[in-house]
Amino acid sequence: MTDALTDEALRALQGNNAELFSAVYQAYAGQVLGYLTAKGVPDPEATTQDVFLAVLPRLDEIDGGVNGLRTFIFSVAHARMVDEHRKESRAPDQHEFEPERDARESSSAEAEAMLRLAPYEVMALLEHLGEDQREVLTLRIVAGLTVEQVAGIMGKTAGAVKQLQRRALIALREHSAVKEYVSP
Amino acid sequence: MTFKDLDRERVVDELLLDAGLSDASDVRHTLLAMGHLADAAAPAPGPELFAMLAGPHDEVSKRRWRHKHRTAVVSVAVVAAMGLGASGVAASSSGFTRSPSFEGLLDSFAPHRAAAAPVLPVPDAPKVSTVPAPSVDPAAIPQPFQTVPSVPVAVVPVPAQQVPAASPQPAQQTPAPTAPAAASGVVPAATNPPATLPAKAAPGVIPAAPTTPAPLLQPAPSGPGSRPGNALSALSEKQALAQLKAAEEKLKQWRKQVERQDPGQPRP
Repeated sequence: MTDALTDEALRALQGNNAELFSAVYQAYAGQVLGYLTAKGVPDPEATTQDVFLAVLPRLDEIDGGVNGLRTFIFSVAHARMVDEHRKESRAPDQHEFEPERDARESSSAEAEAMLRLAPYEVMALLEHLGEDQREVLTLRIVAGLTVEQVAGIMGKTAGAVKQLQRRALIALREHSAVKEYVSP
Repeated sequence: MTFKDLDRERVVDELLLDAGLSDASDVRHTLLAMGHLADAAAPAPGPELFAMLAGPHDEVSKRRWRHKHRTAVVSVAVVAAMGLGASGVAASSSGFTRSPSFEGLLDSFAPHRAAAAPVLPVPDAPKVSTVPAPSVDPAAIPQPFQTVPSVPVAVVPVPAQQVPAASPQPAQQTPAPTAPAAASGVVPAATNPPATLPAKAAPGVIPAAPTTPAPLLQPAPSGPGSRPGNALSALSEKQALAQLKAAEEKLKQWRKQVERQDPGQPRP
């Protein structure tokens, strides 16, 4: 997790759009990609780029420092994720992806090795969660947002968000317990 | 808020505590592994995003530079345009630039020279025969002889009488020159004698004495009239040699006479 962007750095880069864009992209693109991956977006990398294409030109409108920036970025990512899922639901049967033709396979080997434990298990476990539970956990853990920020993005109250994350953890424990029971 | 691994662990622990699952290590492990999804490297920006990441910098910096140096750029452009215009005008107007040049001088001189040659001799035919002499004298004759010209003129007829055999032609042709000179035009007569006389007289006379140019040129005033006759009729070397010898003899006799007249005067 590289989150070198601080309020001071953000202020220092104000006005220098090129360096500001690069810094924001380098600081948050990985998290956005992880969030979109965890949410099961069909092409998380392309959607990540779409998110930043929408975010970067509006950096001047953002206030609240790094927290405000993070909230803004993930609210845009959330909206994009919802759009992608709607598109997917409208055209559910798309099988154009072919692993042997995927050039990204070699470049993702490093991430795959690093996340060897996580991806399959985590993604499989997240499949057992409800949509909102998954969203809350992803925004809280991958995006690093607070309960209030998640509530603002999802349009829910903080209590509802806390309830969702509680239920999500219980569901995870049940499924991980089942998995541990079955797999050995 | 900076989001690092410690922060993530803090968030996960907070979630577990809130859900009453703080002892569920498998859930914690799952949540931490889920958090590692955020460690993915930033994907390489596509062309559109790359242009956005790189483009604004150039445009903004260019705009700032232009704004900062606008007056300098405009002034340089104005000065350059004015210089180009002035040089273009100067180059296009031929009369202004060509008059002081060498070609302009030659062009302005040539018509005068061409006009002067035909105009002058026609009315002043007798004077032209004497014109070449003063033009040659100041260059060739040393100063002492400028005071003497009356003497050689008076002397010249004497050698002609004393040595009729050596120089029959000058004596015979001396009356003639004015007529042919006036009739045929003096331009060749004026140009020929300076070219032929010094060239042939100088090699033979200079070793003899430095004063030779003066007597040699003395016949020139009366000679130019005779020269054109010779030059136009036949330019034989024999005649030239005969004239040279006659001139040498005239010189010797003239020197003797001069020495007789004023023996006390030193000769250079």
